[in-house]
Amino acid sequence: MTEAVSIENLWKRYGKVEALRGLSFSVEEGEIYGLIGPNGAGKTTTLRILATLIRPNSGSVRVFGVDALSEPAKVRAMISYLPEEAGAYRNLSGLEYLRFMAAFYAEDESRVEEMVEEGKRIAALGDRIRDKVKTYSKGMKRRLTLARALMVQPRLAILDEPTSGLDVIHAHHVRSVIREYVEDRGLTVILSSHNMLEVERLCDRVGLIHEGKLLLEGEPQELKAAHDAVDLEEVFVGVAAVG
Amino acid sequence: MGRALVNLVRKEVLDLLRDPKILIGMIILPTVIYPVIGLAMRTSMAAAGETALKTPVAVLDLDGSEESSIVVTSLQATGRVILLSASASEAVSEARSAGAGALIVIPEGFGEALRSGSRLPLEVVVFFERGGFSSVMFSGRLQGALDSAAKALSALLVSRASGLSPDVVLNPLTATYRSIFRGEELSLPPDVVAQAITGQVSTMPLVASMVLIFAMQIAATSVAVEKEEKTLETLLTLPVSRRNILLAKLSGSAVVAALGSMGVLAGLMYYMKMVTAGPGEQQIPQISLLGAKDVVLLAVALLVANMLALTMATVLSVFTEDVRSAQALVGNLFILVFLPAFLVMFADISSLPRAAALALQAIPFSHIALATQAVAWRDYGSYAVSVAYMVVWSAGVAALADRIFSSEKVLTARLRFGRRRAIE
Repeated sequence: MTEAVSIENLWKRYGKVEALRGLSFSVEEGEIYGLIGPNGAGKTTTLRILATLIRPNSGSVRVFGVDALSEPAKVRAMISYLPEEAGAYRNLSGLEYLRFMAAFYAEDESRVEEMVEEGKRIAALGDRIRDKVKTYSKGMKRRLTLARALMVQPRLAILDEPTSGLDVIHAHHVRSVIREYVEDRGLTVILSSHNMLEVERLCDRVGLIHEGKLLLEGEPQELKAAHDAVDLEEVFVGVAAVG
Repeated sequence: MGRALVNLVRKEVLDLLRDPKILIGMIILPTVIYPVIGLAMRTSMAAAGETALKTPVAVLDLDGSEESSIVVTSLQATGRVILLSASASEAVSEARSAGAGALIVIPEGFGEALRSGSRLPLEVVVFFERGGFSSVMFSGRLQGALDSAAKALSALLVSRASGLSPDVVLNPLTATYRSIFRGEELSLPPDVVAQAITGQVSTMPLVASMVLIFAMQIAATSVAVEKEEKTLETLLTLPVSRRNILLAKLSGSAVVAALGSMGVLAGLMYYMKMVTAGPGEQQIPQISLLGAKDVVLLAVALLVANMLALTMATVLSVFTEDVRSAQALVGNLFILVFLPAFLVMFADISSLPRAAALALQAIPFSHIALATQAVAWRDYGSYAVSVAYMVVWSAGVAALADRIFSSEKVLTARLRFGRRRAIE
């Protein structure tokens, strides 16, 4: 299997605060990798570095073999990043927003339309897709931005809390779409989530980070068995408490 | 990359123009407000003028001389006059009941006194029965009529005392004027040329300042709104160069600012036309001090200054978290734009103390004002220096903006005022 993401000995400081302290992990192509950890553990910082938004103080980041620190433009062409609080342009309609985003990835107009159709399917907003984004609820905006992230068919999707703000039905729809993209189109996903049930059901492997370091890594079933836990939440609470 | 840039610029313009705060607050309202104010002022002034003309002046002529009839004729030339035949004690009440705005009592012996070289005062009573501009205009009309009566009486007295022409005695000086502007002779009186210079040359820096401030406000919005609406992170991870993102921000802001500026300037011109062009007022001959080449040079200077304003506002807005704080921060630059424009409008820079002149010249925005003046006086050397200075500043600030946009600063830079953000 090809290595999709390789992160080695990553350090990131914000002034006196050390957000990442020698973090290392890797993700295989076609895998869904879940980053879990308490607030302030360094999950979002890790995803932002991977998405080429910020640079680490030291360490290396490779995406499909490309050095994300020296060749960020090449990495951006392969990834799609969904921030935890992603917004969309409020004065555009949902459709205009999807078309605007698709134009950066598609080589011609027909491909733009294909991507937009796919985006409409994922967002599942019906006729509301023609309304201005400012009229959308938080959940509708989340579905639109997630549709944007997936419709362009990146090689790697970096999703920060992908189902945050969604109700049970729409969260289920989103998880199904992510799983479908991985199985049918070979997408690699790295996501962060506070929803342990979601992580357990969706992720092939999980990495637990705490205070900027990886404490634990493995398949959800494997981790539960190793810690004699009923679910991942028990594993998380137990390991995070010990540090 | 051209396609991506076009896509970005289109989005910028669309998003900005559809923002009600910008569309209504910064384009439609400023465009409409000046014509509406101008129209309202013109309408109210016309109504006030009509009221002032219709309001009669009551006159009680107790003299009945040739001199007193000159006063009455002068008053009749400016509006309606009611001649009273009441006694002096009843004149005030009779004038008020007749709806007069004023009463003028010409005392007995008025003409005789003038003929013997002395004066008897007229008794002028003005009734302020209504407020508004009409009473001001009525007072003006009354004073004007009395002034022309005084002139007519002067002419009569001069012609009686000497055989000379009253017009020559009262206006002994005549002159023929030639105005030399920029080495070219204009067959116009100096006051007309001076008025044209004031109108066209001195106000240009102010107009340019307005355009720059407009551009700054829009540019400050375009980055800050990305932060406020949480769209910046996504935008920065798209497969498009950061330089193109910056260029699109600057271009989009420039397009919207140009639309807004044109609207505001058109509105202002209409306002000036409404307010200054009174009914029946004598038209000032129009002269054009700027040729086509001058206009092109001014456009180049404005373009360079605009780029500087846009990049400066964009850089500053990176350090804010929302539109309101971005506009407040960028607002601090406005003084650097307006102050030089006002100074240059009212004073020649060479007449300022050396230190003040140097300080003024160090401000890059001073050079849009200096460049317009240099063009007007065909001092192309000074124009080139001013434009070059702004180009250097623009290039410097653009390089800084490029550097910021290429780094994580565009996302993480904040001007903190005693508050720290939590780190996830």
